[in-house]
Amino acid sequence: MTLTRRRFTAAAAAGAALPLLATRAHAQAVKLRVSTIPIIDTAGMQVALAKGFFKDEGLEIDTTPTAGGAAGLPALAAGQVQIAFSNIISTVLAEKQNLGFQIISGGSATSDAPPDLAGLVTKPGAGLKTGKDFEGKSIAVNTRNNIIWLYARAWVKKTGGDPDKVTYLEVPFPQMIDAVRGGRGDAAFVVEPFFSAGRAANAVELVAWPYNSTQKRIPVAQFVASKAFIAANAGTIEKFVRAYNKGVDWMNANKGSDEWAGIIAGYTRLKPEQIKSIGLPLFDKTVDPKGIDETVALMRDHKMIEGPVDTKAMLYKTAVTAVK
Amino acid sequence: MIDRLARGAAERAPGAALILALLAAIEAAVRAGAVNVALVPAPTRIAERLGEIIASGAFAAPLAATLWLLFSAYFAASALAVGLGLLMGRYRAVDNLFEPLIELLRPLPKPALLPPLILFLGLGAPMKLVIVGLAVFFPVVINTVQGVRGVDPVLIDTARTFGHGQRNILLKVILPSALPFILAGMRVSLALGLILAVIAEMLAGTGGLGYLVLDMQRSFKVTDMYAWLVLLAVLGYALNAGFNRVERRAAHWALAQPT
Amino acid sequence: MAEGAPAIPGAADRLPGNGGAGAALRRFMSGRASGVLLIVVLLALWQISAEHWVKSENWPPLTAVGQAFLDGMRSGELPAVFGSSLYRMGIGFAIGAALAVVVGLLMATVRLVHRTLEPLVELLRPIPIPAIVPPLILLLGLDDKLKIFIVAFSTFFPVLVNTVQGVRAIDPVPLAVARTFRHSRARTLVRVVLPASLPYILAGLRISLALALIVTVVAEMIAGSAGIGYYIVTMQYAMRAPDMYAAVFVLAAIGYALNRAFLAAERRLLHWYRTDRSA
Repeated sequence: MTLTRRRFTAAAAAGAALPLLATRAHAQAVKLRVSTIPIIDTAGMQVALAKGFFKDEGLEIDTTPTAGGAAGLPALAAGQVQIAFSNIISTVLAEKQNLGFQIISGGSATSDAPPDLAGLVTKPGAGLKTGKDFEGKSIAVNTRNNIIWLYARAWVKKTGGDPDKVTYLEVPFPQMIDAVRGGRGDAAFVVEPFFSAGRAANAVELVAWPYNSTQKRIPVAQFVASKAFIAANAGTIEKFVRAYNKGVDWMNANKGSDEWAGIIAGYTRLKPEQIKSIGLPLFDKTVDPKGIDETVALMRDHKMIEGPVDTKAMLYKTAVTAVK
Repeated sequence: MIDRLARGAAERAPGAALILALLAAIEAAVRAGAVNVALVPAPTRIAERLGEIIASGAFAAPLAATLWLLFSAYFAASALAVGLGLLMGRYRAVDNLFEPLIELLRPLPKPALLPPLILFLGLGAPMKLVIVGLAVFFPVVINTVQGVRGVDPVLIDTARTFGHGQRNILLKVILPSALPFILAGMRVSLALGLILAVIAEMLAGTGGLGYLVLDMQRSFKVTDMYAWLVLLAVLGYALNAGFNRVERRAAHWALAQPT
Repeated sequence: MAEGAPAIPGAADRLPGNGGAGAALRRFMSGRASGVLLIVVLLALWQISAEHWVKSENWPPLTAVGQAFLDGMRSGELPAVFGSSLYRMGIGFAIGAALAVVVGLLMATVRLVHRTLEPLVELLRPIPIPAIVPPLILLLGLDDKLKIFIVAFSTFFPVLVNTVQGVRAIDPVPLAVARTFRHSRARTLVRVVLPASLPYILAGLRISLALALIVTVVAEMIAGSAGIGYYIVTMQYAMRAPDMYAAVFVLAAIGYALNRAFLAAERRLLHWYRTDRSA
């Protein structure tokens, strides 16, 4: 939270009209504003920040955390931030509306095999095992028309059920375990750390892994920038992605170490012991267009979009070939 | 009747002119490319979409959902608030008991109360009614208390001299006198209630205008989002106009009460 | 009649022999004792239920909340977070309130202004804040500008409504007298209308103040990045409910303190106003 305190002091001095936090004086440093979410998925960038990889590339990063992802892309479209961390569903939807974004980096992905960063849970002993069992029942998702909802439906379909016969309750993640335990919902497709905490407390039991049983290594979220900005600042983008990739490398090499846990705890506010024991996303330096294609196909199946999506055009070169 | 309509139209003319001028300015800005059309669509496009929504009747179910949530919470919470407010304004002991709690709860933003609310009330109607009801409750209770305190003590003394019991004094003397204040509070609460109903729909939604606005935003269907937003604004306008009418009637009645 | 009528000084204050701060404090304490007791009982219920009946991450024992509060204060994080929110709120409130009083006075005294602005005001008033956040982000970004605007926007309307109704409630005689001196319209506004409608304006300000705090927090919850709202949401998602509730308690305390402070200031101003008037 150092950035918060620093920003507060600077703002207090500056008065009502608040420019970007830009008081550090590197004459050559390029300033970038990046909209992020304080979740584990952005750990690569946070590590790169903490270890000074961005500074090494001559970049000064001002992160603007938003509690949910919904505020990032509009800010990107308006040019208020230059780079935004966005989930793939939102990015595809934005592409459909021709908002002119491109994915510039790899990001977080789900697993190839169990375990995963989110799971489907029910009350212990509920006896619901397949999609067919869930017909007429309810599954808690955090919001409808997003990735959790989509893959819950995909799983129901894959395991022999009709996804339209299942009710999807909108419940914020922190309340999902309560909802299932209290019998308000029959099941929840819940992310970490609530997933592990719920199981550890024996409040819920695992039923399935909707993510990796439907699609391996789903490219869940990546960094996105506008085509116009990329065209005008190709060099800067490359530097950003290079520093980010270094962060990812470090992370993968140091997973489980105290320093690693400390950095993640710093911006997510999770407790370090917790971080070491929960299911983590995979961190990739590139995005496989085939992975996006599969997700897009699902989106089409479940009526989120119509018509084709040019996934290759959505990826800028830095997201396809890892920048060294 | 025509005369009244004509006068009404003339009344509204400058206001309507201002709104139209603003819309025209936005339209011009969009056409000239001065704003990003992906995020600020042309008002004419929004109007088109709005027309489609109305013509197809798609607005009916969400509108009904929002109205049901709003009115249920509004009337229940207002009744509670007026009742409690009358007692608090009249009897110091009741005021002493509840005022600290009320003052402590009032500044809490309702989304901050979601975790315990969902935990204890679940996800259905009761939880949403409580969120909206809480927003409605406070302005009304505070205003009622103020209104009761502002009642001329002479009126109360006179009523007592005539041998009226506490209940009669409360209902026949104090309530009518405090009515203007109560109504002012209920006016604020109506607006607040609508806002909270929309927030409740966005946070724990299952249909309703607020839910749709958010859903359209998330899918980047910006034109649709604005169309539903306009419906929401018109609803608010209509509610306020309706309230004015009711208030005028009630004021008549209050003034007509024998004092 | 205005929403939230002026604070009427307790009649007891006027009786002889009831002066002095010590006496007032004693009266306050014995007066509000039952209310405080109620709160204490509810808190005890919370603690007991969290320890014995309710098993949930989202219902921690009060003792854990207390510990989180102490940790937050000691590390300086809670004060910093609250300071930043109050700063944003203060600016938004001042801007919104000042604009509202000016516009309100104009609307209430100049018929044409009223007819022109009223439909627009009535159309904008009920729009819920979360719904206008995306277009506002487009115009104002994710920074303090956005939050300040949102606070000003929501402060504006209650104060405006109260100002208008406050002016309308003025005894028409002094207004009529002032109107005959048409050339000093501005003077009329400042010297007669403004002071006369002060009780209602102040009541509107008090309501808006509470609203401003809530709106600040909600705006921060949605468009993140600093302040109480963001802290509350982040703590929730980090499964640190005690920290979240600690912040909620501080929020309640601050709201209470702000309201009390405002009431005291209001009483001061109105006391002057009343004595001035009755002279």
